[in-house]
Amino acid sequence: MKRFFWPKIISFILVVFFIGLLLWLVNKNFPLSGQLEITGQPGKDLPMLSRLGPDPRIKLVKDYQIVLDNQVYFDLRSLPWFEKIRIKLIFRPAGRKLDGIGGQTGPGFQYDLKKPLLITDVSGNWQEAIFDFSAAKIYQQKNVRRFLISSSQIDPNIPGELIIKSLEISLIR
Amino acid sequence: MKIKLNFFKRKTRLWVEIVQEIFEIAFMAFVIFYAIDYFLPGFITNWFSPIWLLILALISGIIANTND
Repeated sequence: MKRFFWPKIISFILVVFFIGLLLWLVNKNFPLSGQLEITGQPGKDLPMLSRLGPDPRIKLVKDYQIVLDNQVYFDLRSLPWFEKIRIKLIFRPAGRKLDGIGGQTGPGFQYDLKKPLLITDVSGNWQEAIFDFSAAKIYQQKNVRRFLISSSQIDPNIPGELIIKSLEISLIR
Repeated sequence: MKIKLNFFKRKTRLWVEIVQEIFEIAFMAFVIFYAIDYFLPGFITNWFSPIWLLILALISGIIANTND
Protein backbone atom coordinates (compact mmCIF):
# COMPACT_ATOMS: atom_id res chain seq x y z
CA MET A 1 0.00 0.00 0.00
CA LYS A 2 1.34 3.39 -0.94
CA ARG A 3 1.97 5.72 2.00
CA PHE A 4 1.10 9.36 1.60
CA PHE A 5 2.98 12.34 2.93
CA TRP A 6 -0.01 14.41 4.14
CA PRO A 7 -1.33 12.06 6.85
CA LYS A 8 2.05 12.25 8.63
CA ILE A 9 1.98 16.07 8.50
CA ILE A 10 -1.57 16.13 9.89
CA SER A 11 -0.62 13.63 12.55
CA PHE A 12 2.35 15.81 13.57
CA ILE A 13 0.14 18.92 13.72
CA LEU A 14 -2.40 17.08 15.91
CA VAL A 15 0.29 15.79 18.29
CA VAL A 16 1.73 19.31 18.64
CA PHE A 17 -1.81 20.66 19.19
CA PHE A 18 -2.56 18.17 21.98
CA ILE A 19 0.81 18.76 23.68
CA GLY A 20 0.03 22.50 23.52
CA LEU A 21 -3.42 21.85 24.97
CA LEU A 22 -1.91 19.87 27.84
CA LEU A 23 0.60 22.65 28.56
CA TRP A 24 -2.25 25.20 28.48
CA LEU A 25 -4.16 23.09 31.02
CA VAL A 26 -1.09 22.85 33.29
CA ASN A 27 -0.72 26.64 33.08
CA LYS A 28 -4.44 27.10 33.92
CA ASN A 29 -4.34 24.72 36.89
CA PHE A 30 -1.03 25.97 38.29
CA PRO A 31 -1.40 29.72 37.79
CA LEU A 32 1.83 31.67 38.09
CA SER A 33 0.18 34.21 40.38
CA GLY A 34 -0.78 31.36 42.71
CA GLN A 35 -4.40 32.43 42.47
CA LEU A 36 -7.24 31.19 40.32
CA GLU A 37 -10.29 33.41 39.87
CA ILE A 38 -13.75 32.00 39.21
CA THR A 39 -16.73 34.25 38.55
CA GLY A 40 -20.20 32.82 38.91
CA GLN A 41 -22.78 33.32 36.20
CA PRO A 42 -26.36 33.87 37.38
CA GLY A 43 -28.50 30.78 36.85
CA LYS A 44 -25.75 28.84 35.12
CA ASP A 45 -23.80 25.83 36.28
CA LEU A 46 -20.10 26.20 35.51
CA PRO A 47 -17.67 23.26 35.71
CA MET A 48 -16.04 24.78 38.81
CA LEU A 49 -18.92 26.65 40.36
CA SER A 50 -22.59 25.75 40.47
CA ARG A 51 -25.48 28.18 40.38
CA LEU A 52 -27.23 29.13 43.60
CA GLY A 53 -29.95 26.76 44.71
CA PRO A 54 -32.44 25.39 45.54
CA ASP A 55 -34.51 26.97 42.77
CA PRO A 56 -37.62 27.93 44.81
CA ARG A 57 -35.48 30.18 47.01
CA ILE A 58 -33.88 32.01 44.11
CA LYS A 59 -35.33 34.37 41.53
CA LEU A 60 -33.41 35.56 38.51
CA VAL A 61 -34.06 39.12 37.39
CA LYS A 62 -31.84 40.42 34.58
CA ASP A 63 -28.32 39.55 35.73
CA TYR A 64 -29.15 39.52 39.41
CA GLN A 65 -29.89 36.56 41.62
CA ILE A 66 -32.46 37.38 44.25
CA VAL A 67 -32.52 35.36 47.45
CA LEU A 68 -36.12 34.97 48.64
CA ASP A 69 -35.68 32.63 51.58
CA ASN A 70 -32.98 31.64 54.02
CA GLN A 71 -30.13 29.35 53.11
CA VAL A 72 -29.11 29.04 49.55
CA TYR A 73 -26.27 26.82 48.50
CA PHE A 74 -23.55 26.59 45.90
CA ASP A 75 -20.93 23.97 45.11
CA LEU A 76 -17.28 24.58 44.37
CA ARG A 77 -15.16 22.07 42.48
CA SER A 78 -11.49 22.74 43.08
CA LEU A 79 -8.15 21.02 42.88
CA PRO A 80 -6.27 19.80 45.97
CA TRP A 81 -3.32 22.19 45.84
CA PHE A 82 -5.48 25.26 46.47
CA GLU A 83 -5.39 25.73 50.25
CA LYS A 84 -7.35 28.91 50.73
CA ILE A 85 -10.75 29.89 49.35
CA ARG A 86 -11.66 33.58 49.23
CA ILE A 87 -15.28 34.42 48.45
CA LYS A 88 -16.27 37.89 47.32
CA LEU A 89 -19.97 38.63 47.27
CA ILE A 90 -21.50 41.84 45.93
CA PHE A 91 -25.03 42.23 47.24
CA ARG A 92 -27.76 44.68 48.17
CA PRO A 93 -30.07 44.10 51.13
CA ALA A 94 -33.69 44.75 50.11
CA GLY A 95 -35.53 43.73 53.26
CA ARG A 96 -33.13 40.88 53.88
CA LYS A 97 -29.65 41.09 55.35
CA LEU A 98 -26.65 38.87 54.84
CA ASP A 99 -25.75 36.86 57.95
CA GLY A 100 -22.75 35.07 56.55
CA ILE A 101 -21.42 32.26 54.44
CA GLY A 102 -20.78 28.80 55.80
CA GLY A 103 -18.64 25.97 54.52
CA GLN A 104 -19.89 22.41 55.02
CA THR A 105 -17.86 20.73 57.75
CA GLY A 106 -19.35 17.23 57.65
CA PRO A 107 -21.93 15.08 55.92
CA GLY A 108 -25.52 16.34 56.18
CA PHE A 109 -26.41 19.73 57.57
CA GLN A 110 -23.15 20.73 59.26
CA TYR A 111 -21.98 24.19 58.37
CA ASP A 112 -19.54 26.56 59.98
CA LEU A 113 -21.15 29.95 59.42
CA LYS A 114 -18.68 32.78 59.12
CA LYS A 115 -19.19 36.51 59.34
CA PRO A 116 -17.55 38.52 56.56
CA LEU A 117 -13.96 39.60 57.14
CA LEU A 118 -14.73 42.88 55.54
CA ILE A 119 -17.82 44.67 54.23
CA THR A 120 -17.34 47.72 52.04
CA ASP A 121 -19.85 49.97 50.32
CA VAL A 122 -19.56 50.11 46.57
CA SER A 123 -21.42 52.38 44.15
CA GLY A 124 -25.19 52.08 43.66
CA ASN A 125 -26.02 50.96 47.22
CA TRP A 126 -24.18 47.70 46.66
CA GLN A 127 -22.05 46.14 49.36
CA GLU A 128 -19.05 43.91 48.98
CA ALA A 129 -18.37 41.20 51.53
CA ILE A 130 -15.20 39.12 51.67
CA PHE A 131 -14.94 35.72 53.34
CA ASP A 132 -11.88 33.52 53.80
CA PHE A 133 -11.98 29.75 54.25
CA SER A 134 -9.30 27.16 54.70
CA ALA A 135 -9.92 24.42 52.14
CA ALA A 136 -8.67 21.71 54.53
CA LYS A 137 -11.42 22.50 57.05
CA ILE A 138 -14.26 22.10 54.59
CA TYR A 139 -15.77 18.69 54.02
CA GLN A 140 -15.57 17.50 50.45
CA GLN A 141 -17.14 14.72 48.48
CA LYS A 142 -14.68 13.79 45.76
CA ASN A 143 -13.51 17.33 45.00
CA VAL A 144 -16.78 19.20 45.58
CA ARG A 145 -17.22 21.52 48.54
CA ARG A 146 -20.60 22.97 49.47
CA PHE A 147 -21.23 26.43 50.89
CA LEU A 148 -24.36 28.09 52.15
CA ILE A 149 -25.32 31.74 52.09
CA SER A 150 -27.35 32.63 55.14
CA SER A 151 -29.64 35.64 55.24
CA SER A 152 -32.46 36.86 57.49
CA GLN A 153 -35.38 39.23 57.17
CA ILE A 154 -34.77 42.71 58.50
CA ASP A 155 -38.45 43.11 59.45
CA PRO A 156 -40.01 39.73 60.34
CA ASN A 157 -43.44 40.86 59.08
CA ILE A 158 -42.35 42.04 55.65
CA PRO A 159 -40.87 39.47 53.24
CA GLY A 160 -37.58 40.80 51.98
CA GLU A 161 -35.04 40.00 49.33
CA LEU A 162 -31.28 39.87 49.14
CA ILE A 163 -30.06 40.86 45.71
CA ILE A 164 -26.80 39.24 44.66
CA LYS A 165 -24.93 40.99 41.89
CA SER A 166 -21.85 38.82 41.72
CA LEU A 167 -20.14 35.90 43.34
CA GLU A 168 -16.41 35.64 42.80
CA ILE A 169 -14.15 33.00 44.19
CA SER A 170 -10.38 33.09 44.40
CA LEU A 171 -8.56 29.84 44.96
CA ILE A 172 -5.19 30.55 46.52
CA ARG A 173 -2.26 28.14 46.73
CA MET B 1 -1.71 1.29 -24.91
CA LYS B 2 -4.47 2.18 -22.55
CA ILE B 3 -3.81 4.95 -20.05
CA LYS B 4 -5.73 4.53 -16.85
CA LEU B 5 -6.47 7.62 -14.86
CA ASN B 6 -7.64 7.05 -11.34
CA PHE B 7 -7.41 10.31 -9.48
CA PHE B 8 -10.55 9.72 -7.45
CA LYS B 9 -9.31 6.46 -5.92
CA ARG B 10 -6.00 8.02 -4.99
CA LYS B 11 -7.75 10.89 -3.24
CA THR B 12 -10.03 8.48 -1.39
CA ARG B 13 -7.08 6.50 0.00
CA LEU B 14 -5.37 9.71 1.10
CA TRP B 15 -8.57 10.75 2.88
CA VAL B 16 -8.84 7.37 4.62
CA GLU B 17 -5.25 7.58 5.83
CA ILE B 18 -5.80 11.10 7.17
CA VAL B 19 -8.92 9.95 9.01
CA GLN B 20 -7.03 6.96 10.44
CA GLU B 21 -4.34 9.27 11.81
CA ILE B 22 -7.02 11.54 13.33
CA PHE B 23 -8.66 8.49 14.91
CA GLU B 24 -5.44 7.22 16.48
CA ILE B 25 -4.34 10.55 17.89
CA ALA B 26 -7.79 11.69 19.09
CA PHE B 27 -8.34 8.35 20.83
CA MET B 28 -4.90 8.40 22.48
CA ALA B 29 -5.44 12.00 23.61
CA PHE B 30 -8.85 11.02 25.03
CA VAL B 31 -7.32 8.11 27.00
CA ILE B 32 -4.49 10.30 28.36
CA PHE B 33 -6.83 13.17 29.33
CA TYR B 34 -9.34 10.78 30.86
CA ALA B 35 -6.59 9.10 32.93
CA ILE B 36 -5.30 12.47 34.18
CA ASP B 37 -8.82 13.53 35.14
CA TYR B 38 -9.47 10.22 36.89
CA PHE B 39 -6.56 10.79 39.27
CA LEU B 40 -6.99 14.57 39.52
CA PRO B 41 -10.72 15.21 39.05
CA GLY B 42 -11.26 18.60 37.51
CA PHE B 43 -7.77 19.03 36.03
CA ILE B 44 -9.16 18.56 32.52
CA THR B 45 -12.94 18.67 32.96
CA ASN B 46 -12.90 22.06 34.70
CA TRP B 47 -11.79 23.53 31.38
CA PHE B 48 -13.20 21.28 28.66
CA SER B 49 -14.82 17.90 28.27
CA PRO B 50 -12.58 15.15 26.81
CA ILE B 51 -15.71 13.40 25.55
CA TRP B 52 -15.41 15.58 22.40
CA LEU B 53 -12.16 13.80 21.62
CA LEU B 54 -13.93 10.45 21.94
CA ILE B 55 -16.70 11.66 19.61
CA LEU B 56 -14.04 12.84 17.11
CA ALA B 57 -12.26 9.47 17.41
CA LEU B 58 -15.53 7.56 16.92
CA ILE B 59 -16.57 9.57 13.85
CA SER B 60 -13.13 9.27 12.24
CA GLY B 61 -12.96 5.57 13.17
CA ILE B 62 -16.32 4.89 11.53
CA ILE B 63 -15.34 6.82 8.38
CA ALA B 64 -11.98 5.00 8.21
CA ASN B 65 -13.61 1.59 8.59
CA THR B 66 -16.44 2.11 6.13
CA ASN B 67 -14.04 3.40 3.44
CA ASP B 68 -11.20 0.97 4.07
